Amino acid sequence: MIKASGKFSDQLNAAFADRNCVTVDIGLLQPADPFLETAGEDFRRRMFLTSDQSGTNMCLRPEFTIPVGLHHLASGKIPVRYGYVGTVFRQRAGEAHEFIQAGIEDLGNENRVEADIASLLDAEIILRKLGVGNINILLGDQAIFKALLLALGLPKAWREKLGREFGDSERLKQSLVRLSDKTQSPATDLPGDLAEHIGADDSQAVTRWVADKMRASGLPLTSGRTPEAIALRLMDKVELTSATLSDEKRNTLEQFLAINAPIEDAAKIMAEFEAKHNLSLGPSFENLKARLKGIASSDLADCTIRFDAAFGRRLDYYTGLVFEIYADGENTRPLVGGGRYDHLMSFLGAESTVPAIGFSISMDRLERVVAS
Amino acid sequence: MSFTIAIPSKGRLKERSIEIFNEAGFKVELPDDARSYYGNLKQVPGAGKIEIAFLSASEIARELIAGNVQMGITGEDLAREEIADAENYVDFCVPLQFGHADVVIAVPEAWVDVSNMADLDDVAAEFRTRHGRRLRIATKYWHLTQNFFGGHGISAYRIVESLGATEGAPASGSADIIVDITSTGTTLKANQLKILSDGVILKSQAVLMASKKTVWSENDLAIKQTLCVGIADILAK
Repeated sequence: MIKASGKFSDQLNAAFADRNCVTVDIGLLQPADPFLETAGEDFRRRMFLTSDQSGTNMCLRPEFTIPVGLHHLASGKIPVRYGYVGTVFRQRAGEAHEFIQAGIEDLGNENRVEADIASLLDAEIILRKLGVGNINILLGDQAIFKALLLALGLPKAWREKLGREFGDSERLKQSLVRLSDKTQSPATDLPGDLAEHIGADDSQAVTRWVADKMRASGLPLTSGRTPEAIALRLMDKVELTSATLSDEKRNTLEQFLAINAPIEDAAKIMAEFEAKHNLSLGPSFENLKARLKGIASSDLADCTIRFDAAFGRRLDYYTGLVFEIYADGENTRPLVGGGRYDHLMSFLGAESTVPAIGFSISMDRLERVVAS
Repeated sequence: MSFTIAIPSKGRLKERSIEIFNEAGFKVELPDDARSYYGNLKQVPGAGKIEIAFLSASEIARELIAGNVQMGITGEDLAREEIADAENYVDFCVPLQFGHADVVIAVPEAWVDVSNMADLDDVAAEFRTRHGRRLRIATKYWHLTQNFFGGHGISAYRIVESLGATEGAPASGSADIIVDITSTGTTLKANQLKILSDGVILKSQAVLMASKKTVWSENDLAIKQTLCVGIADILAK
């Protein structure tokens, strides 16, 4: 494995230089908190954790995007394209826990469409250079589904819930069924005086009620959920218990999620969908169309590219284009995973939004493809 | 290799474990020296020496999983917390109808808008945007919590390890909600916490367990069978 990565690393470093990337060195031992805070507690199960003498949680580098982002914030240069290659440690079912990842992170380019296309080209050029013959690219869009939920005029609580589930088709399907269930009973077992305040639509009284309850329980009023936030959500929830998702809207959502088309047809099919349902999907739709057109007419020659409207990543820092690249012969696990993650740098402490897109290649999977 | 059964070394769990063996017609011989951690189990037909090891309840779970003892009595919650796929390590032979306790998710009663996991999912998702940090859960049940929340598709939270007085964490500000064990719910109530309607992670009780990670001779298997049948019979009466 080490020798093989050495072989590839010359080619990779040459490719990084060709693609105007700065190579970056990231330590093997990393503080664990940034990974757990951004990716969530579920990621802990896949990491290799340890702690230093002061009790700080440390981990073996589980991926590069977050440490590259932190490195970028510390150096403060904008915009930069970073290239990296190195070992990562991650618990994967049926695959080695120690493997090589390589990738490019493009940080700070405000021309998002241009950067999106460049990122796909980066990946394609590197895969070709390393000897991958067949390249199948799967595209999704993290923003367009949220735009559709908004265009359909769904309540905020539903939009947030469904938006969160985007990318997990089973869960999403269940939620659509549940929201359109007309037999659901309003589950309210609220104390009488609180129910009265809600009935009177008196948000201040509800907030006071919650604040009193919190004080009586000795709960801090400011460091966690506030009385205002709890009162607001409660009133929204009570209002929504009697609402159901109409069959028409559910149909529209299901038709959207079923869109899966070759890149040449994707923009046209999306436009037909928008017209048929008389929707106005706004700027994220224009963005998507521009991107699809750009990709269709780019230099991504001899690649099979599909757009799948239901394809997404369930990490809340992805914001736009997401993609995976597969090679023939190993169509179960992708060689490359990538996407636009405009929220990540703010999560990591940037004061304003930093446009960001990148991808990583699993070099062990690539090696198997190239060898076969 | 001798046959070893590990049972809890103190409290109600110890008393009930001894009682149940005795009621089933076996005889637990306590060590002469009160400081010793080893006794014997007598009057088991066809068996040679059976050693009783008095250990802490969580140590019993670990020893069963490691295959260092043949059998043991401990809480199901402890075995399942110790390892994700506990069924592959431990045979849950006979539930003993004592030591009942549920591992539950409890939130402050003041969270009047949160009554189930779907609500908690909403709250967890918006937590960082609103408060600049993840929702924090105090618990000693890392694995059970991760599995249960994972099963509900919730990952936007952090676990704060708590090794005692977990129910005080929300009020002290060290966590927002808790995952803890409760038998009657009175401690939760006293701390003005409520259990989510679908927030019972595990209904646990003391169980007579057998290790799957030790070598079982024909004779050992016969002993296991005798003990399990004897105790199951007495519980069925």
